[in-house]
Amino acid sequence: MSSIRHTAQRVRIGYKDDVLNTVFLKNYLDGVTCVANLLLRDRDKFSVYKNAVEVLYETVCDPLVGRQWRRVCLDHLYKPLLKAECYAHNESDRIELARIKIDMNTRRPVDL
Amino acid sequence: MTATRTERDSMGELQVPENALYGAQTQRAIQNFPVSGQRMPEAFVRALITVKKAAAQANMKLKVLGNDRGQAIVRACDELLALDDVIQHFPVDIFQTGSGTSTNMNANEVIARLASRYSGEEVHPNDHVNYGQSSNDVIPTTIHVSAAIALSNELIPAIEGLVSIIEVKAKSVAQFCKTGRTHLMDAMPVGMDQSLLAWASQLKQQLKNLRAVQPAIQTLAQGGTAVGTGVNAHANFATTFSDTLGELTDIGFKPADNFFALIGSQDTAVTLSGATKSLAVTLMKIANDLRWMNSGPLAGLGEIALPALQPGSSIMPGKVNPVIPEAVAMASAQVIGNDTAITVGGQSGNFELNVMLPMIASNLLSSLSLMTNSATLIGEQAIEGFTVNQDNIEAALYRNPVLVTALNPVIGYAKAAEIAKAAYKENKPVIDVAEAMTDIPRGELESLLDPKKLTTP
Repeated sequence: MSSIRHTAQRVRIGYKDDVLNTVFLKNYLDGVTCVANLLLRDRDKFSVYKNAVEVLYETVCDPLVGRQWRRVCLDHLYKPLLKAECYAHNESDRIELARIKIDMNTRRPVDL
Repeated sequence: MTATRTERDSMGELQVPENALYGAQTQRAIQNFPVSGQRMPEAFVRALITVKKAAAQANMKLKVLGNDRGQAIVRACDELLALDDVIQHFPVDIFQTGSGTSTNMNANEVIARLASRYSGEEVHPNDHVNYGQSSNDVIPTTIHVSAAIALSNELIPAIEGLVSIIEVKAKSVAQFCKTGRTHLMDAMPVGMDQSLLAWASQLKQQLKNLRAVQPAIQTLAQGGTAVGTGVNAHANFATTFSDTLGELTDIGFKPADNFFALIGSQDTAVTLSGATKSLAVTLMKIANDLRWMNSGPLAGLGEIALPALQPGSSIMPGKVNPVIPEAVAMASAQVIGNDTAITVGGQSGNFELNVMLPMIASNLLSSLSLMTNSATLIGEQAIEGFTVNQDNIEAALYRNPVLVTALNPVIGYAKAAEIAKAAYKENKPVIDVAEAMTDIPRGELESLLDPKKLTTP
């Protein structure tokens, strides 16, 4: 079974041959949206999108992953990030998101 | 007057609102069941649409549904799931046919209508959207799927969050001792952290109970079709469907070993409702403990002050009430009531079909949602922010005659009882009375009667 969790692991590892596969990433992000659409509470939707942000961002920062794939992930990072921002209604969620964004600004990979 | 269009089904023609996505069978259900004015829960509707999407994908994989129509059905489902107000297309009352056929057909009609727009061919509600399915396996499946999603993604994380908040709070109040109470009467001292960690322990047990139901609630009736035999479905439909649904929801579903059991009964829903009721009892206890501890501020126990959230009275200025614990206690009472309804519903399986499915679905999802929100609220709005009234708890603690119990091993029960009675009668601290009535030096008494030492074996 190719669950979102499993797909997320594949996103993290990237493609061995550094092959661009935006369709694969689109499927992952569609899956994330599908799971979020099943939830009723905004805080739970936030968690789903925040996890996706973390998966993509960790991939972007991972020097062991192919550069092309990391660029693809960076290009798509804004999608779950914007969604997460939409659902960050309480203070702790906003702080968590701010922490991730500060980290993004300070730890931006130099080789991309 | 609302403009209408003419729709027809196997029973004839009728008028349907012109812009409605649903068709004739849904319209008949609207007219037949003006019972409560309450629709099926949104969580159920979203799970039902996902079940239909997974069924279409499974049928395409098994090559029993054409790709054009199948993809159109998938797209229709995605469009519906993306709607914030998807529930507007599902107007059928909870109290309808016991199998939930009206809600299943409502979904089939809405999806078919949308899918027909996207496909070059007509997509039929029964022949395509409902291919290889029956309301009798779709609705029990959707009960399990919606409950599994609510349990895994919402309730369990919410309880884990509450446990975490309580454990952090317990550390922050570990220096305080308070009067323990049995029968609501003064008893031996307890650490405030001990009281809180008892709540956390109760909740951890409830988490175990809830997790124990997960494998059963993730087992599905889909593939059994009308009575459990699987007639009209592809032989591999059940397995393919469960795998596909797992991919869509990120939850590991599997087909039932015996479809007859899952269509003819709702035992798992009853079990989950029971576990949820047990959780409600725990939350009710926590809510009531908080209310008692917060009572006063002058004429009650006044041990803690809950965060003030709103004015408590329309006539008494300055009054602030423990509104969150009250809300949680009421939600808990509702869950206990829901469980009774679900239990009766669970008994209503006659031979090959349970016929109280929509009521079970509605009450079960209501219970899961009430407990999820209650756990979050009581943690974040009550426990996390309460402050301890140290003066109040110490004043009560040192005047508590039961403290004398600590002197039993030194002076015997009878003498200790005399001291307790005198302390109570004279309203004096036990240590002062014990000093006057015994030869024990003050320093030793202070050590013997130290409340902190009395909170451990």
